[in-house]
Order: sequence, then C-alpha cells, then structure tokens
Amino acid sequence: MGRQVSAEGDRQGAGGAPRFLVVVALACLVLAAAGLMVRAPALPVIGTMPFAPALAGAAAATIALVLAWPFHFLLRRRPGYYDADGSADG
Amino acid sequence: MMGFVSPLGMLSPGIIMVVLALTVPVLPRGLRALMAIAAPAFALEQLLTMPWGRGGELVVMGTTLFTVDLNAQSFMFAATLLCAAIFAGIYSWHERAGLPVTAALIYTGCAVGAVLAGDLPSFYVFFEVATVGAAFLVWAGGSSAALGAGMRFAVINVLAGVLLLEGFLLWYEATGSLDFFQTDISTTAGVYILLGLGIKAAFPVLHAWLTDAYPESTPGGTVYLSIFSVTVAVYALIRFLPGEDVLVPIGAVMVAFPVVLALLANDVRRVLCYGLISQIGLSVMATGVGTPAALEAAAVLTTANAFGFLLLFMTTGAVLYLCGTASAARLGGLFRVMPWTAAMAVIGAVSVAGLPVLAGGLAVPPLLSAVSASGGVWVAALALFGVAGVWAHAGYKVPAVTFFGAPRGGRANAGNLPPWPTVDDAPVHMRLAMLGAAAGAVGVGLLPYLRGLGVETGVLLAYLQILAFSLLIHVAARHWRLLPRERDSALIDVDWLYRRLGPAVVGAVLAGTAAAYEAWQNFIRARIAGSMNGLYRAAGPNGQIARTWGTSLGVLWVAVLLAVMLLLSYR
Repeated sequence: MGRQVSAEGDRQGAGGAPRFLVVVALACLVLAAAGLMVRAPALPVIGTMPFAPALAGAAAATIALVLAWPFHFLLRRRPGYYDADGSADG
Repeated sequence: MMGFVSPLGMLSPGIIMVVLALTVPVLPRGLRALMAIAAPAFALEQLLTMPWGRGGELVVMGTTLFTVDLNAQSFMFAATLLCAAIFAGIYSWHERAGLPVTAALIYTGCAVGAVLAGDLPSFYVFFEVATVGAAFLVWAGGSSAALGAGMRFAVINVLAGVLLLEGFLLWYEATGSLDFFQTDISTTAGVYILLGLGIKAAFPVLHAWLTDAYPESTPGGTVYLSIFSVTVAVYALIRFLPGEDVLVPIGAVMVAFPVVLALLANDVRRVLCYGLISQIGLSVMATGVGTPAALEAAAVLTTANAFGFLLLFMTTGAVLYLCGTASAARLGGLFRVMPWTAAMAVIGAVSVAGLPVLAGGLAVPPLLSAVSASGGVWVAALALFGVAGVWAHAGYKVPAVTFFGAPRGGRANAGNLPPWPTVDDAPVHMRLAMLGAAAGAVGVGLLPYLRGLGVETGVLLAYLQILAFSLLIHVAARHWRLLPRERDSALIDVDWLYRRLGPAVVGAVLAGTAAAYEAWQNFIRARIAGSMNGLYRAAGPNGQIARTWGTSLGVLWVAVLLAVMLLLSYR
C-alpha cells in the first residue's frame, strides 16, 4: 500500500518553493560577484560588461514569461479541441 | 580496438537487433521482456568487439553495400543508442505484448544500424525502417488519438523519407557514388536532404509531428520514441551538412520557439517534447557553425541530451503509469510518494540544463561563444533566449509541476481526489532503468573532464549566471503565480494547420462542390421537366395534336396544303 499525500505534505510542499527561491537567489549573488572578478571576452558584449550575463539571463526569462500571456489567450483551447476525448490535447 | 574480436565479424549490431526482434512474436510472453534487454545488450557486445573500419558487405543486385562503418563518431552514437535501448528495455519490463516489443527493437535496431551505416543505401533503409517501427510504437498507445497521431507521424515521416531518397538519387546521378558525402544547399540534392532531415530533426514549422505523436504512445513507448529518431537525424546532419550556414539561424529559432510553447503545454510529456526540440536546436546550430570543435560539441550535446531526456521521459512515464495522467493541471506534490522518481527527475533536469559535470556543461558555453562570434546579433540573442529558457521545460517546469508544490488536482477537486494519493514509487525495474540513464548522463558529462578538456572560467561563469538568473525569474514567477495557470487544455501548434484548418478547408471545398453540383443537377432537372411538360401540353391526351379536329378544319388544312403545293409546282 502506498503512502498518502497528506495535508501536512501539501503544506511542506508549498513551503519548499520559497526555500528554493532563496537558495537560487543566493547562488545568483555568488555567481554575480564571481562574474565581476572574471570576465569572458570570448562572449561578445555580454562577456565584457559587468552583470551583463545576469541581466541577459533574467531578461530572456522575463521575455518568455511575458510572451506566455498573449500566447496563452491565442493558443490554448478547451480540452477536446482536437479529439472528442481530449486525449491528444496538450 | 579490443583484445577479443567478435566471431560475427562486422555484422551490423542493428541487423542483429532486427533479427532478434522478429523472433519476439513467437516467444513466450515471459521471454519477450527479456529479449527487449538481451537484444540490445548482445548488439552492444558486438559493437564493442567488432573491428573498426568499413565492412558488413552485402551484395544486392550486383552492388556491394557496406552496412557498417565503425569510427569514433559512429561508435559514440551507436554506443549511446544501444545503452539507451538497454535502459528502455529494462524500463519496459512490464510490457509483454508482442507488437510494442517487436516495434521497439526494430526501431532502436534500425536507428543503431543507421548511425553505423557505411553507405547511402544502408543508411536510408535503416532510417526508414526505423520510422515504420516508430509508427507502430505510437499506435501501441491504443487510443483513437494514438491511431490518428500515428497516421500523421507515418505520413510526415514517409514524406521526409521521399525527400531524402530524392536527394540521394540526385547525388548518385551526379557522381555515381553510394558513399556518404558532404554537401550544402547550393546543390539540389542538398536542398532535398536539408528538407528531409529538417522534418526528421523537427526543424521549426516541420516539428509538429513530434509533439503530436510522442505523447500518445504507452509510457514505455514514449521512452523509446523520445531520443532515437532525432539523434539519428542530428548524426545525419553532421555527416551530410556540416558547416551549412543556414543551419545556424534555423538552430537558433529551434532553440528559442519551444520555450514559450513549453510554458503553455499541459501534458508534461509534451512539455518534454518541446524541450527536446529546443535542445536539439543547439546541436543543429553547432552543426551549422561547422568548426571541428563545434561539430564535436554537437555530437556530445546530442548524446548527452539523449540520456538526460531518456531519464526525464522515464520519470514522467512512471508518473503516467502509476497515476494515470500526465496532465500538469492534475499533478504536483508527488515527491512525497515518489521520492526516488523525483530525485531522478531532478538529475535529468539539471543534466538537460547543462550544468557542469552533467551533460552539456562543457559543450554549451563554447557553443554560445562560437555562435555569438559568428552568427550575428539576432542569432546570438535567440540562442541565448533558448539556453536561458531551459527552465521553461525540462530544466524546471517538469519536475516542479509534477513532483513539487501542492497536489493541484487534489486541491481543485476536494472530495474527488485523483487516483494517486495511494501510489507507491516507481516499480523496481523502472528505478533500475532510471539509475542507468542517470549514470549515462553523468558519465557523458564527465567524459570531457576525463579527456582533460576544459572551458574558459570566464565563459563558464557567464553561462552559469545566465542559467541562474533565468532560473530565479522562473522560480519567482511560479511562486507568485505570475504564469498562466496550468489547466487541462489543448495547445495550438503548427499541427493545427493539418488537424483543423486543413480538414476545414477541405470540408468547405467539398461542401461548395457538392452544393454547385446539386444546383447544376436541379437546373438540368428543371429544364428537362419544363421541356417534358411542354411536350405533354402539346402532344399529351389534352394537347392540340391529340385533340379530335372537326371536318371543316380538316378540309381547310387540305385546301391550304394544296394551295402551297400549287404555288411550289407553278414556279
């Protein structure tokens, strides 16, 4: 018999995200600090300016997230749009 | 290469697998799963012990074909595919039906045969028979959706096969050679080959067959399907079109466009398909750059991603197998009940993300440098967008929505809980297979280090910053719910053209034609009826002709006729 997903488990699971967020933020700080000390001339533009790789990564992710909204309205359809049973949706 | 030389000489491991696959239907059910593991293991043993070079001659209609050309590159691809086939066989241990096992072995065997092929006919035959096996794997899904998706998969891939064949025939006509060749799109053969391989490698716009068909198979079938076709396609691109400039922008678009679609897709296996296309785009881009280092990066990335994606498809397949759904809207929180599978998913995710020591850790940073230096601003920007977007699919979204957070289905469906609260972790055979795939991902990632290769520290740091800050945004957006909610939905992609627009246009044309034909029929029918009515009025029982005339009128008519005759005779 398998284990149950309990309400406690729900709370712990939901609480995992902020901890992960903090860990990632700390990693970002460390990498940004290290990036200030070591440049990457082999990468034109972003490798030569301070914080440019960090800004580029954040900007790329932000653009993807912003683009997701118009495409959400444009491209998402009800289940069963393609097949009556909705199994080929996605 | 080895001390022990195979007694089978240079018999292609792919042929061994196909022959063994054909024995599966007559085997007892219990032995079929064993054969799914034994056949690729035997083929791997043959690969490791056969001599290097060209061989495996086969005389067909007076022409000698070479079914094997074993060199460093083909060995790396074949060994990767065979290891993946063994892991996929272990993963599918529960599968005892004859058709899926046979189809899987033919598919993987032919993929191995294609990367080992020594000339064009061998490569073509292996590649195309692999497509047939893949179509049967899609159909093994068993649903009506799987049937439709398999048909679309077969039609599109047969089209790709025809284009490839045309390219090869044009080349043969021009040169008389059946050997592998390198070309570019300045030749007609090159254009055909680019289009054929473009479909097989899921280039932008030509990619929809992949995201349409792969998620429709069985959990084990999707694991098989996931990597073999595209890996062979990238291998072929490296063989036929290295340094082709147009591959750089195509690869850049290929890396970037699946990012947004992956964010919106609901089926986690479809999300992985978009991730697979994006990562294959990196290899395509590297092939287009064409320098020896870039081509090596393309090969390493492809093999590394093969293990990473194999692992991720295994984890999502296990979830589907145990929970009965792969819908992101209904999953979540499975880490509590499937910790082993969740851990493997995380390894697969960071492997695909290309962190150092894993998978593309050493391949992506130099590739970014090469593309930034030679591809132009837009190509570099798209490549960076795609690399940073790895968290939108395989890197973060799939493990996050499947294994972490609260169980969404449970919360939205209180009192009507989904079926997984009581599931156990993946069965032992699936765990073993995942462990093997994880070892493969780490092993391939470590290879460059073992060979003493390294990356410039600055480039590596810049690359890690890109990944880390992108991840930060993705995690924050998911935490504060800034993304569109996961919900059961259909996602419109290019396949909409032939799944909705095409049938609608054909339906409209057919309806218009039918209406015009009916109108024409009505017009003719009305004219015929009018004529008949006129005749009836004139010659019917009540018409003028049939009426009984009086004697005086008859005499009058006779007189008139006689007068006419007189006048005519007088002249």
